[in-house]
Amino acid sequence: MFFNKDETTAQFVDRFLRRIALAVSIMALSYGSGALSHIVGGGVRDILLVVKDPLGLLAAIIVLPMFIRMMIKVIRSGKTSGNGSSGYIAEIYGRSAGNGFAAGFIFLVFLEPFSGKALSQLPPEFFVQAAIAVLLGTLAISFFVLNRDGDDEMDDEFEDEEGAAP
Amino acid sequence: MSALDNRIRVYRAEHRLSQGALADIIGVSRKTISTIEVGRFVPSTVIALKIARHFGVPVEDIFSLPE
Repeated sequence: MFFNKDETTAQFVDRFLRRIALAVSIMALSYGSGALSHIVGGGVRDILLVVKDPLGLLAAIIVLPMFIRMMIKVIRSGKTSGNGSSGYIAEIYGRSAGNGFAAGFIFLVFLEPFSGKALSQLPPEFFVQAAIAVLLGTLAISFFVLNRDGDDEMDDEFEDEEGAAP
Repeated sequence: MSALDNRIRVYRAEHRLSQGALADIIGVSRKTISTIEVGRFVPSTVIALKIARHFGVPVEDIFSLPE
């Protein structure tokens, strides 16, 4: 899985972006756990605090091997971008990032009126963690929804029949 | 209705070329080619020009705005 010689650069970039989206969704859970731990109490709070850090570690483990391989590819080729970064997956990743940013911003605007009254007891850390959780969560959900819509690979009747050569 | 009509499938059929093979030639993933074909994804200018160059036709023979 780590070393796939048949994989093209474009396929690798697609796989890398899918991995990042998965890691982003886990990071959203991690930040969400951190934010919730300021609201709930007792045993649930302890569980959330225990779960938070391993989730961050899991996200790093998911991305790190492919990130290292990506860096090796970039150093070897001397290129920082190619067609692989302008494909369909890169497009929906960019769109999802925009959705995530918008959701995070709207969330902060929505919270602002409450910050001085109802939520005044909560530490600033809560607002930062909650906003990041909403931003990353929206990015990940948006990516998976858009990617699911495009997952129906078309039947390719020319594939491998007469060979690839024209 | 898609934002950009295309005839990639027609040209692939003429050249007996699979989506995967065309994707490898152009330097994109197979998913990118399949989503361009069904009109879900509007390709970058560079990808459109590379596809046209591969088939040896002007880019407007493959891509056109819907009527």
